[in-house]
Amino acid sequence: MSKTFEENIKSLEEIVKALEADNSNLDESMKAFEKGIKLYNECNDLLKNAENKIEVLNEKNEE
Amino acid sequence: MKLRKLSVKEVNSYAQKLLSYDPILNNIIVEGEISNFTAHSSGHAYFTLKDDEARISCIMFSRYFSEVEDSFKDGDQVDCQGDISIFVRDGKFQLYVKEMKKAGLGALHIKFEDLKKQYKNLGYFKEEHKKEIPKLPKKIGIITSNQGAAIEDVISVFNRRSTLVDAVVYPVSVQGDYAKNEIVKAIEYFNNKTAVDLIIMTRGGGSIEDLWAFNEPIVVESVFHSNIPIISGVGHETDFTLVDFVADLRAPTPSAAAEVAMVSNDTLMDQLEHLKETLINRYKKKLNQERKRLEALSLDKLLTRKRNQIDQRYQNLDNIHFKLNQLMNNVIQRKRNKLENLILSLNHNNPIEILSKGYSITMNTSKNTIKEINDVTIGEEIYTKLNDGLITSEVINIIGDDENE
Repeated sequence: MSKTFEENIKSLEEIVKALEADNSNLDESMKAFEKGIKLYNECNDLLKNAENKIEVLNEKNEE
Repeated sequence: MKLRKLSVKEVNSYAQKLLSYDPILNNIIVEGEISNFTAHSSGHAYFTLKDDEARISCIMFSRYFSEVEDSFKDGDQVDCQGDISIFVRDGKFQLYVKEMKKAGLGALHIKFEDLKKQYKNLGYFKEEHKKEIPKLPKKIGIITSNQGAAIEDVISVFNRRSTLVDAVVYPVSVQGDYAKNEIVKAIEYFNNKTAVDLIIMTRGGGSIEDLWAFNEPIVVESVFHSNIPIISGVGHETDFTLVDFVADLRAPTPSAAAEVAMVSNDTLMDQLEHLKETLINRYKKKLNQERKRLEALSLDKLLTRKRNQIDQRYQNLDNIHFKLNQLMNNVIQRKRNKLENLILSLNHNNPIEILSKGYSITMNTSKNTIKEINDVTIGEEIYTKLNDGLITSEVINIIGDDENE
């Protein structure tokens, strides 16, 4: 789950970078922005709704 | 030479004095095995130190003995620090002990330093071998005892800090004969059988003997060769083990190890919000740029340009119109002047104008001007027009010019 979070953050950072570069047209920018906001919302949900799991191995697992 | 007789006390006191002048015997460390150990009710401890070839009586006064942390018994190998003197009353040559440590401890310390030097020379502690600690680990492997404070500390930090990280605990003995092999097995397990992207090795504080498993060469090798980054959190701030040196990151305590392993939700939230702000700002900037470009090309602007062209033509037309008007006016003005001149000369010749000079015009009733005497008859009514009105008269007489002369 956090892998997705990390990937989302990475994508979000890339989008921000791309928006800063001036070579994208308005259509592309709008799409990128929408995608960025979507990623933000996903990350936000992940952060708020995720629950960590703790597993303690027993003898059987260790084999 | 005649010898002076001495009392026993004088002899013993003299020997005691001599010994006290000796710089070596004044402060020495003696290694040996304890025997005949007696802790007296006064608080003083009495025992004998012996090795294979000799023995020496020892006394440790309560003010020193009470400071000693370990307990001692016969057979213990110890290092005793103190000075040599003579108990005058009994003529007893003995060691007055101020500090006592188990000798084995010292041996472990020496072993630790030797191993440390050895691995340092092998380059095991070099920065270039340190693996990068993942910023956002997905799953963390924890190698520790499932009893004791360390695991509780780690899990408590874990639950408080982050909801995004999962953990797998591999319980091991952290001291004793089995510890080293179990720890190695745990590292291998995480490397080969799980998808953890970070390992925390941890245990609480203890003596060098307690922590020794973390100095064992087999453990050091295993940590060094692990493909998964390892954070060590062994003991307290001041406890160092070889695992601390060879691990990719050393945390001073178990809690600290857990804290450096996972970014807190709050930090992530801040980071995320910041990204969002940047995204929105960049987008707004982009929109503004596009808007400006659009404005430069907008229909409005085109229309304005067109209108300007049209306006200019209107203006040209107006100019022409104005000139035409002017020409026309000139023509009219000239005509008017001519007319006025005409009227003026006309007025000049107006017969009525003569009346004001005292002349008059006489007309018959039919308003025909009477120009000669033959135009009237006696008794006829005639009108005379003067400057300011008419006079009616009756012809009484007619006299021609010839007759009048």
